Amino acid sequence: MTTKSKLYKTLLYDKQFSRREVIKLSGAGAAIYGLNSLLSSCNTSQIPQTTIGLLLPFSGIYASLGESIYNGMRIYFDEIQNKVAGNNLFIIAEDTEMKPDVAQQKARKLIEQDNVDLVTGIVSTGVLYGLRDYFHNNKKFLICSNAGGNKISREMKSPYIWRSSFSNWQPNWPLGIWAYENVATKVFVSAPDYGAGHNMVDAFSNSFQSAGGKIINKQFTPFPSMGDPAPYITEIQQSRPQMVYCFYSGSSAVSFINAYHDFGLSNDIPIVCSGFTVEEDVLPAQGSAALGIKSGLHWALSLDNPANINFVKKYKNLYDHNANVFAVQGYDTAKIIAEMINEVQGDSDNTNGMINYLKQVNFESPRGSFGLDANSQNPTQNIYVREVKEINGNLQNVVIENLGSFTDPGNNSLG
Amino acid sequence: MNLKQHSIEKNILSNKIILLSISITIMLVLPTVSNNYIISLLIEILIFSIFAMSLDILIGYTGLPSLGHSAFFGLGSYIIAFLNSTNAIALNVSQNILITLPIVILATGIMSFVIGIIAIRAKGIYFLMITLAFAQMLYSISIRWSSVTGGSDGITGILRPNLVIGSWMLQFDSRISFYYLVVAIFFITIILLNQIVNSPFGNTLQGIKSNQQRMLSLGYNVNWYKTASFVISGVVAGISGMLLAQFYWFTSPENIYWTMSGQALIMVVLGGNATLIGPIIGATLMRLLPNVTSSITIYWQSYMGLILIAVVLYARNGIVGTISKIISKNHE
Amino acid sequence: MNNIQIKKLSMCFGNMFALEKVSLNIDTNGIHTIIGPNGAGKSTLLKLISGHLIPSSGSIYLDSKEITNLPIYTRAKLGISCTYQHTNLFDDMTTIENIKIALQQQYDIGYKITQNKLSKLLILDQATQILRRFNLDDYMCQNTNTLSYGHQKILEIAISFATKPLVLLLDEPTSGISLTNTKEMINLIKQISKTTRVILVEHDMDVIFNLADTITVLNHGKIIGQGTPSEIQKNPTIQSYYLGHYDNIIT
Repeated sequence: MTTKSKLYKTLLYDKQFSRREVIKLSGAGAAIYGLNSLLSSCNTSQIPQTTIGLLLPFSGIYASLGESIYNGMRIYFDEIQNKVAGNNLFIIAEDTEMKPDVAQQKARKLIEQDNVDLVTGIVSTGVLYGLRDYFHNNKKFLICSNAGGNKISREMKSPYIWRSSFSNWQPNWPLGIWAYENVATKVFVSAPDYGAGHNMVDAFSNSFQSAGGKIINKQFTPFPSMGDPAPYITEIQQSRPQMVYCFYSGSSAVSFINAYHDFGLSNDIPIVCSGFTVEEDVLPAQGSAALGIKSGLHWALSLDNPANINFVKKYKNLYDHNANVFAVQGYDTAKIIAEMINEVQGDSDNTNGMINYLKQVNFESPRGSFGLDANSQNPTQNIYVREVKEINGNLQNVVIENLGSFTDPGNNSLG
Repeated sequence: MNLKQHSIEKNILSNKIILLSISITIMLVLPTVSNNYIISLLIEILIFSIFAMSLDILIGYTGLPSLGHSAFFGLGSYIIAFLNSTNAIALNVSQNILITLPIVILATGIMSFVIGIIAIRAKGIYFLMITLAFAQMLYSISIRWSSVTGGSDGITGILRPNLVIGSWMLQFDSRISFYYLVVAIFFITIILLNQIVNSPFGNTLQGIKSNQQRMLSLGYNVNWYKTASFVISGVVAGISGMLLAQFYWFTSPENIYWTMSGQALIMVVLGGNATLIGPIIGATLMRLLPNVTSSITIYWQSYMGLILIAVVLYARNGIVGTISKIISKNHE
Repeated sequence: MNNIQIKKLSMCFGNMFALEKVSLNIDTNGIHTIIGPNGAGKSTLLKLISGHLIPSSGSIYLDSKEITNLPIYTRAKLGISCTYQHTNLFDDMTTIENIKIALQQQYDIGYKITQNKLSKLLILDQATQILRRFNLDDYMCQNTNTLSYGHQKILEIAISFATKPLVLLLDEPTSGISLTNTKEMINLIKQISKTTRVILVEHDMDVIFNLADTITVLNHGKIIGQGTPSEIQKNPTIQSYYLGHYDNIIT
């Protein structure tokens, strides 16, 4: 066993190590590894090991998402003692900063320099699309653990790129019909003016309209920074809709929901939103302003199934805060990767073997029953309607309805 | 005196030629001794060097501190995406670089002329603001006009070019062949820009940087020259943007965002402005440092910031400027 | 030829007239000097001719071609060249480079991106000659910001001279320089005036009576007298206005 593998073993077991230190040391390990491979490039005997490249934003506005995903992965790799197909498992994490050009460079480093078996991670759709052709043309595997851009399940599909998270369309289409049947028939739509915002709004609007509902206004706010939300809330106020649909994430989710509450609209006009808007990462900052908001997502903290109860408990123990949907995605991604490597007995050049495995993935995830759809290469998973409620003094997304299992249609026919 | 200066000039010139031929040889031989990943790093470094050199024409030689140079970089990348990609948005004009390159040059040239003619009327910080404003305007268009630009998702499927003359064809599809194409364009650019900055036109630009009012009273149509400099620099930036898009098979609004301009600005300041070599060194450092350090520390940007502060405070001429100063001092 | 004609030229800054309906013909050869107390509008007049200021009303002609609103560089191309009261050089360049920049405009090659050896040598030769003529050849390869102030002022004129102007506007060329340099400067200006019409704004009475062929006296933005030095000295109005307060003039 090399120094490096010992290093990883200790690291992944010891929860006292912060993520930063792991990255730091993994980098040092990678450097040693790189040197080794340069010095002994003629040496054919390889130490049996599996290396996974992780591309996540650890700086910039998506840093907390990257951290959650990484944390979730660590829980799963811990569960399997960092061994896959009899090999030691290593992770080399790289910071993509949410910039496509940085991500490209890092992806090349992981694949060509560090010789990783496959790459996972990816939070923003821009980065995912930017890497698409690189992975496709080089026939390298990428398991996307967050970015939800619809196109990667549709016109930009590649046999080597699979997604273990969601497509932007996925939670919003069922939500549209549900909202029409259960909340109101006329809606005001608000989302940031970028790819994901449009994806989500299109999915929701199309299903809402197909159910018979009416969109009275669509509002697209500046991205990445919305600035002061007051003018947008005022516009909503003046339109007097029966209901508001919105999608925001991170700091915009906090400022939008809080301003909506401050304007006194939360009692009169109910919000039905994409689950990210009130997900566990932003809910504490929104506080009571988020009470009563209904949202659609593929997971909820309070989901009552054994896998979830186990995961949520472990996460809280390890990291001292609640799990969120990104962590769950990380956890499931880790599971898929580990089982895929097991399936091909550690031989990551066995492309067909890996694709065949991915096509039939099916297991009980914290999200409920989970599979991968061979057509869209996107998860088949339950979509839940959740409502923010106060339970024992804590705000929580409580599942009020399971809308059933959905996957991406794989084409643009449904928005 | 006359003769001496002349011989010095000749000496410098022959030194330059030797240096150039050595570096060309190194560039040509490098791929045979390095791995695929190193080549990809080299390609990036060369592309960003072209970009940074183009900005140096503006900042270092003409004294126009632009913070909107990403506009042309991004424009170049989008134009090639329209001209030749597998994306539904594309017009698919041709894959032949002999056709696409002139179109990119023409389009970025026209755009930089239009922006330049307005922007150069402002001075100093206002010039900076106005170029920034134009770039952010294009950025915003690239995000909002998604039916044409692909919005924040960018455009994928951009193809690497080929070179067709009659029945003879060269493909730049593989990384190594694309590397040679980038090397060729890099050296053509550096030779052309070097020629430009050492020509009477280059002297004129440096005169404008040094003392604009005096240039006016000597009869120079300063605005005309500034616009010309803006166009040259815009076109070269456009070419580098085109190359990056082809290398990545992808472009996105990030290429137009002001941070891209900022990156180029740092490359120029760090390496040393008005040197042409400086921006290349700056680009090398800026592209290599995150690669080397970010695995070790996620705070590479903070370190970069410290280095930059040190350069601005203690070595205002950048790395190249400071080194050449030290050398010339030792000579005395 | 090379006549400057000024018709009812006014310039106001806010409510204040710096020049008020000044009409002036500069049509004799030699050195034309503009004098007057501080704030009389001398420098303003010079700047209006060179194009650094655009008048509020009135017009300026160069050989019956109106130049009132032309930009600085067009006037420079027509042959009006100016020097600045405070030196205005290419500080980060050497003395010879300063001259070369002027010369490449004079030869109209400033836009070229190639230059053959002959043209390079020609410009180098010309520049050396000019520097020699202005006794600056010892400082050829020195950065201009390391020159003495007197030499900087001489270089200032040399640069303008290099563009072969028809009319040379000099704004207090001797202010702030040593006596030796002043003498040198007087000789240089005399030489230049043999081929070029010179319009000179000056404070120093010794310099004025040493150099001037004609004198225009300005006060409060108006012309109060005009003539040869001896005529001006005899003019009673001017004496009472101006020469009488000789001590006050030199500030």
